[in-house]
Amino acid sequence: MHKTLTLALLALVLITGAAAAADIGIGAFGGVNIPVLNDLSKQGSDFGVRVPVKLIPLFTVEPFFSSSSLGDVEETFGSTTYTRDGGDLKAFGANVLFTFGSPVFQLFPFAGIGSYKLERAGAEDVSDVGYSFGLGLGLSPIPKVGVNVRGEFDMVVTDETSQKFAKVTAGASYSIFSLP
Amino acid sequence: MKTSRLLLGVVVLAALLGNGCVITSAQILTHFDLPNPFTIVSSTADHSERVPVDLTTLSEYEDHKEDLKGLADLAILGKFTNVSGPAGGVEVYIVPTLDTPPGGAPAVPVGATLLWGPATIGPTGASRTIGWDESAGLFTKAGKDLLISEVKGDGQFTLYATGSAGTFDIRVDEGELVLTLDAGK
Repeated sequence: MHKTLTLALLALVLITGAAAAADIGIGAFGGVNIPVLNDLSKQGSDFGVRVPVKLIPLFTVEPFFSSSSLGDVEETFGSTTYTRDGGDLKAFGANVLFTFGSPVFQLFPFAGIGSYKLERAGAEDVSDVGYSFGLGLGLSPIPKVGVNVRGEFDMVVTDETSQKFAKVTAGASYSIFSLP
Repeated sequence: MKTSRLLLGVVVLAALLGNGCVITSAQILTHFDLPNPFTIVSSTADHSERVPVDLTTLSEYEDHKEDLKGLADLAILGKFTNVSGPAGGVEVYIVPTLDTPPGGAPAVPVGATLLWGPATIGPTGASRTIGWDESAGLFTKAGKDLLISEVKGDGQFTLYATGSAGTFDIRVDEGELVLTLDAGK
């Protein structure tokens, strides 16, 4: 119920924003995902797509999909080394970016909410709401094209605790629609 | 526009505050050594191996005992050798009490809950080291629930390992109970 309500409110925010959109783009990104205080997985890769919807110069809503392949855990017990699947983390949701700077160079703190799914061999899938926040740097060397790097902290709420991940990503985006 | 921003902020804040201790939490790996080696033999007093488990002897458990919310992952590992007998498997049962003495027992107690298995093994001479992923998938729902209850409780319980075939003589080397504790303040 809580999850449904949260996502419904998120959808409301996105629809409201898209109706007044001034600029819509599409982007892809990749980087690393580092589990934090989490012995279930090791560092892995992270890839995804984003659809930045710039509503006003200072404010962008950005639906996203990301997929992380987390690193396996290796432990030696006795004389045998065992390997545990690090699992996959998939997420879709939306970020809100607060952009500062010039059209060529931007600094943007951001926060987001999404639906996260953790999959690991031999374990039940975990699907829960997650939250993210971070800081990004963006460059737009030519019109319509942007590149960015981000540091991000994701927290997937799993019942009474959470699983946390730090991400560092680099991405590029292209503006596909702009209102004058 | 201001309404949309305010709404999103309120949603995020309410969700975080509503989930209490989610921010200061961690998943911590720990393990309990099973007797090394032990044998289970269908025709003797070693029909099952009684393993009293006291998690309070583990520093990772003691350090986080007050903050435990559950188990994020678990496995039973080891090398299984069929000394004599047909192909079969190894099963592990759990009881919530700390039974003693450790060692051979003539039978699994009535009322014990199947926790894990069977981990299959071939006929006489067969030997295998079970994989971590495979082991994690061999836990039963009822057994796992009881184990989580014990982990969140006094941390003391007893495991009984036995064979699943009618006739068995199986040796277990370097057995381990591996737990990933889910803790949060």
